[in-house]
Amino acid sequence: MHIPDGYLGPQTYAVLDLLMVPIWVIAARKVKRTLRARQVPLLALGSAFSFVLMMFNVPVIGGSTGHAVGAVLIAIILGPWAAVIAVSIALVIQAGLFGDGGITALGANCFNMAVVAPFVGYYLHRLLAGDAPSGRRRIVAAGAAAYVGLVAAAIVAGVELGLQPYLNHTASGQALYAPYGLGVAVPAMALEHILFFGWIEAAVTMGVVAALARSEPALLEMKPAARPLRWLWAALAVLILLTPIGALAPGTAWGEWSVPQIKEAIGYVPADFARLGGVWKAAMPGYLTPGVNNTLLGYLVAAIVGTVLVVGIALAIGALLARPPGGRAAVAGEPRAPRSRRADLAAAARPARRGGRSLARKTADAVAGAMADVLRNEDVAARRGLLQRLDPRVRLLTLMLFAVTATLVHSIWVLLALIAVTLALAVASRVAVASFERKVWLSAGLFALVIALPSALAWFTPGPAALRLGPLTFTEPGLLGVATLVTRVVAAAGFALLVVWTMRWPDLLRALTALRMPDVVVATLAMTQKQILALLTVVEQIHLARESRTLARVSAGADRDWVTERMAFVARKSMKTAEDVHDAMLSRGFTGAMPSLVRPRMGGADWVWTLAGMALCALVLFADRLAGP
Amino acid sequence: MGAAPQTPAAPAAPDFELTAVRHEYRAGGASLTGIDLTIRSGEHVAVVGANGTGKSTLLKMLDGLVFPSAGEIRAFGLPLTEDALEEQAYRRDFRARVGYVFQEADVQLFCSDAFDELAFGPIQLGLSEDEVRRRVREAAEELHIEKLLDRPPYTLSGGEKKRVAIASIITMRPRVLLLDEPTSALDPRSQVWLLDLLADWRREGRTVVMATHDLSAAAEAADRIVVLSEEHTLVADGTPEEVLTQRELLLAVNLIHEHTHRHASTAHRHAHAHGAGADPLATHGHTSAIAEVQQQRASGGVPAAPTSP
Repeated sequence: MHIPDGYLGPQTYAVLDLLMVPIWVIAARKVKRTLRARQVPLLALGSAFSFVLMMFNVPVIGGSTGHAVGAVLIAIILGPWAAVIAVSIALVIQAGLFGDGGITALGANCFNMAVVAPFVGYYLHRLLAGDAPSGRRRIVAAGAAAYVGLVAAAIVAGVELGLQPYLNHTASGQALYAPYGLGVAVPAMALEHILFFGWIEAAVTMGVVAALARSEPALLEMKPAARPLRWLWAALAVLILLTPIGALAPGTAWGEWSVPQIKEAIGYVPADFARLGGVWKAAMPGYLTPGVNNTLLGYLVAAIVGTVLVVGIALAIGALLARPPGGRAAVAGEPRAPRSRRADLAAAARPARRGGRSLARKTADAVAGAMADVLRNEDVAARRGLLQRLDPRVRLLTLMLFAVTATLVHSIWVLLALIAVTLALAVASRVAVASFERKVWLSAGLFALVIALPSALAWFTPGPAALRLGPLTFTEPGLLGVATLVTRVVAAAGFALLVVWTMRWPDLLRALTALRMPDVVVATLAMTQKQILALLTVVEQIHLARESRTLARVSAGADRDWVTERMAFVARKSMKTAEDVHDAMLSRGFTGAMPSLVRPRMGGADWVWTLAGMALCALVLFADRLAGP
Repeated sequence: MGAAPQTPAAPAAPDFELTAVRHEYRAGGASLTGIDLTIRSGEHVAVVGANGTGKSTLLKMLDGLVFPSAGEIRAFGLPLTEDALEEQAYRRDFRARVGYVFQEADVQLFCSDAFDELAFGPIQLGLSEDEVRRRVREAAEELHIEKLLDRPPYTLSGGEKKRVAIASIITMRPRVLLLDEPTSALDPRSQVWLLDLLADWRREGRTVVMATHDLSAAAEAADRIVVLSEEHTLVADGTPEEVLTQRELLLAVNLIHEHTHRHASTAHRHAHAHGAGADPLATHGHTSAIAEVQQQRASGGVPAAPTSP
């Protein structure tokens, strides 16, 4: 559900980035009141747990695996406001340390996964669990809450993506950002999570809550509700009642506006709306009785097909990318991850399993890969390149300015020029160019291409045909839209990756301190990153220990039980560590602030670079207006 | 305590005095009970006991991190209570005097790099920037970690982490050092280095209280050993000779166990101690833990213990 840079237009991400600021401030105040001095270690370990939770592979069906977000689980353990901070920090670290999820889209990702999911899930859990401190009801309530919370977050993400074609398009109907309208994006995101990821989330949350209820019930203690929750029941009943009414009343409910209404509202008819209505009328005339909203039915069918396609394609890409163990880290010119020997051992004694690597090995490899990434980044960031020589604040802000510029540019040619800038900066900063380009083009670019390519079909984007492949017709504005998205995503990903690869984590923290980020936030970020690495080591060892004792195949159900048991173990360990770290801080006279003595200083080169960077961005935007989309 | 003086009493007072101390994590289950213990300035005391006997709890109590459920602790002549530590002047003074090195360095190294780690304590004490830098430099030199200062903790080895963790306490210039399982997770060379460091501290007159189940380290580094039983009580208190020769006692508290060896054609039994680290006792042929210590003391390998406390 991580939205990368380049999919959301500036109006959308700017609004969500700005929206998150007061939410964080309120959350920080609430958390400060409830957690007091323990807030830093507790939040850090909560964030680290949230991050590490996403690293656990959970078996689903047919040998495939997925991972949970854990936002609702964190909300159940720490409360919704602490979950806002913990999950946000986990997302910031994913973006800043591992390059997952965009810089400009950070607000959107935080809003979906760190606000919508925890709050929906937390209150639903309270409602369904009632006063039951433990037992079956509590566990089922947690599972249902996790499922609904995640689906709600997915729907909001679908709305954010689905708004893009209406907000940003050219006169010829070519989409500039995410190409699918609400009618496709919302059902696709919703169904993907209703059918697939929601179940993982529910299974994981139930498993961990059940294991914690057995071993550490104190962690799950619910504070009595400040106000009676009856209003929540009422709200839920109203929502349920409204749903069928919305479905039956054509043209009124969310996402079901009729074509003239949309034209009236935004002065532009998104292509898929106009098309789909007609397509389904033509394809299934016999099934559609007059008076039933056939557009909605059309969307639903399209969404189901779309979901199956997206999940299928994602699984296929996953299978393709999952090369034999040991192969992935062996990139020329990069420090080799310490996994090859283990991989050899594993290759010799690998249990026969459908889908190649066992569950335990998959997770252990992913964890080892993540840690190798961090160490590799550290190594690149320590080289004396152009960007590394700059003041960390200047480095961070100018690269972010470039990333924002990439999301503002409409012309493919200007975007290609920006990609050239990322390449030049990578070379000047002594980054291994081959792996840099592989990362931005293969993981970010290819994904955007696969996702966006169907939107170039004449069905979605009408216009002069540019390419015919059998029954499929790709239109000129459609293909241009896809190309714009892919180049923008690659350019933005390039700048984001330069941040990740040229900033040492302590530098990034010092830059944030120098930029007047509150001490508590920086301290929590610092501790989270450290604890993530400590917890990852534990997770890797847990999985390797399992792998070393696994000889025969285990059922997916048994695997799932084992994984959730281990997650509960990591949760307990996290909370215990939080207590210990707090003790260690108190022992050294912790007074609440964590100032650093190393303060960055602006030199002449920093000013030159800042001005040059700003001038370049202005020039790029000017050229873009001249070039036109 | 009302109008208690803000500074600890004259140095004549013992560093710590525990009277009938009991501690419970949950109501009913005691993790320590009936502890009477006095620790004088400059003493090197090893608290030994099997896993789960309350060694770490005792250390945390001495550091004012957990507090007795019953009984009293006095530190430097003043009561050590949660309320007392709320007072800023008292807390500052106490934290500066007492340093705690945690068993797991990962817990203790919470800053983003080693420099910040070493500077954390002095900054919290409110020292000037110059003074903080001076102390960081000196501690780094003392522990030979000058080259590690700009490294994030996760790039350090286990031994390097321990050095940074100890240096981060040394920058606060504590008179008392509390060490939880200091030799665990250290390779033999680092263990030797640690024992040398403890000998330096003895010369400097620093008080050391270490919790361990490594009897050889206790014998070598401490001039007094107290033993905690699995019933969470204090069952022995004396010099290493006095304590380590009580074979029945050590067997009863699970610190040593009978061990049968086949040696050539003859099998024989002897008492066997298991240290956390390299277990030097087990590698020294078939001498017992006690004989080993006596041998070392006779050869002058371990400084003689002062007479009874």
